Order: sequence, then structure tokens, then C-alpha cells
Amino acid sequence: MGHEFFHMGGYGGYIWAAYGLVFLVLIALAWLSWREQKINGLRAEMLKAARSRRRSDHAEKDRLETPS
Amino acid sequence: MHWFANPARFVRLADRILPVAMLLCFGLFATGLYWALILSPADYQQGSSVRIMYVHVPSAYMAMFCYLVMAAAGFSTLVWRHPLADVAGKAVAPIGLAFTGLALATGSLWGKPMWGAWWVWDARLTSVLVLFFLYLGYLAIWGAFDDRSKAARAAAILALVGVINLPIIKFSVDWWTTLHQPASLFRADGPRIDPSMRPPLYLMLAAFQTYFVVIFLWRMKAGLAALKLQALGAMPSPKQNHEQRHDQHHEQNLATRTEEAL
Repeated sequence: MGHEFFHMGGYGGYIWAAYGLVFLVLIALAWLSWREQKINGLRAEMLKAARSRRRSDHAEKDRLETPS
Repeated sequence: MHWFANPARFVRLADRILPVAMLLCFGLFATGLYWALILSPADYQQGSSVRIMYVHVPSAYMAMFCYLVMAAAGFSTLVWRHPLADVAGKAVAPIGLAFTGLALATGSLWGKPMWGAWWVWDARLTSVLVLFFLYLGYLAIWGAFDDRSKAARAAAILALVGVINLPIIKFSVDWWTTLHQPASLFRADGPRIDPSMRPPLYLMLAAFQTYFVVIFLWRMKAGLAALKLQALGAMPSPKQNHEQRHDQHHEQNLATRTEEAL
């Protein structure tokens, strides 16, 4: 794998530009999609956890306030 | 189909598929690229420039495949109102847009050395450019409506109307005299491409297809989580209002009781 591999019989510029572009676009799309699902998933989980925490706080308060 | 209607079930299934698909995707790309760039021979007429085919053909194939998925999602939005359909359509559009852009760009990079031009206004190239704008229009519609269900229906209608472009792309090379070569792989009479060039092409097609699966599932998960967020936070449901009222009631109660105690 030497000079000829990069030269590609004179078509190196076109070939590497094409492969490089494909690589860049596919990596960028993958990164954006992965990040979006991670962020949205975490936010939904946090919101849900906060909700259920508040609900259990209520339950605790109700228990303390109810005269036994 | 309706088995998938439960988003939680869909996400569980996606989480099971994703690691396998990711592994497959890496493996296929590694072997496919090695074969395409090193093992496969140069063409007797085109020289090494033929190697652009191994990314150009899969990109173009995926550009059309994504549109089919988007149109099917649109159809099931309009006809069955399948709850995951509009999420799927919205998830697949950016992938299709990316592949269409890549098909045009890599085609251009192949056309310059072979035809002597970056771009010609022939039927194949023009119809793929139309596909690119259909994706852009679809995404623009999603951005243009505040009401989600209105956006979903308008986008679905555009996706369905645009389906007419797919056979035009496919048969453009037979119906009109074009510079673009006719189909050499997906033909009724079998592939007309040298056997030595088939394995890397099939490997790259499979690599692009598994890449699609991974990205599509991620985007579906992102879309479903966004819906959940909307349901939990952005749009207060009646139940939530009740909870808030409950909250206030509690605080008032507590305040009066403290006053009494003092």
C-alpha cells in the first residue's frame, strides 16, 4: 500500500473526495441522531422521575397529616 | 403492524436490535471498504474511478428506499392513523435527504472524470434532484405547522404524491436518452456487472442498509422520547392541572393549620 493506493491511477482526487464525503455525512448524521435520542431519553426519564418523586412526597405528607 | 403500536414495546425491541445492527454495520463497512478500495480490480475502461460506484450505487439505492419507507409511513398515517407512523416518517426523512445528497455528490465526482462534466440536465440526474427537493419539502412542512397532527397529515400527503417520482427515477434511463448508464444490478435478466465487482458492491449495499437500520432506530427513539416529553411537560394535561390544584390546596391547608397552632 504505497503511492499507487492514494493515486488510484490518476483518479485519487475524485475517489477520495467521494469516500471522504460519504464518511463525513454518515458520521455526522449518526452523531446527531445518537445525541438526540440520548438527550430526549434522559430528559424524559428525569421528568418522569421528578413527577413520581413529587407524588411520593405527597403520599408521605398525607400519611403524616392524617391523624391516627 | 399494530403490535408495534405500543411505543414502549417498540423501544424495547429497538434496544435489542441496535447492538446487533451496529456490530453488523461495522463489520460490513470494514470488509466492504477493504474489498472496494483494495481487492477489487480497476475497470478496463474507467480505471480506478469505477470504485466510486461502491458508494454511489448504495447511496442512490438508499435514497429511493428511504422514500419508499417515508411514503409507506405517510400512507399508514392517513389510512390507519397508526400511532408510530408519523414518528417514522419524520425519522426517515433526514436519512433519505443525506443519502440523496450523497448520491448526487458522488455521481458528480464520478461524472467529472468520465463524462467531462460535474452536472448534466439529463432525466436521471434531474429526477434525483427532484427527490432531493421532495425530502426538503417534506421536512419544511413538518417545521411549518404548530399543530402536530396537521403537520403529519400534510407531510404524509406530500410523501404520497411524490411517490410518482420513484418509477420516473428508476426507468428514466430506459425512457429517455441519457448520459447515465442503464441499470446493471437490479435487472429482470440478472446483474450485468463483472462478477469480480459484485461482492464489494453487495457488501456496501448491505453496509448502507444496516447503517439505515441503526440510524432509523435511534431517530425513532428520539422522536418517541420527544412525544413523551411533550406529554409530560410542554402540554399540561387535565390530570396535571388537577395535581397542581392538589398542591396548592395542600399548601393552604398547611398554612392555616400552622396559623392555628401558633
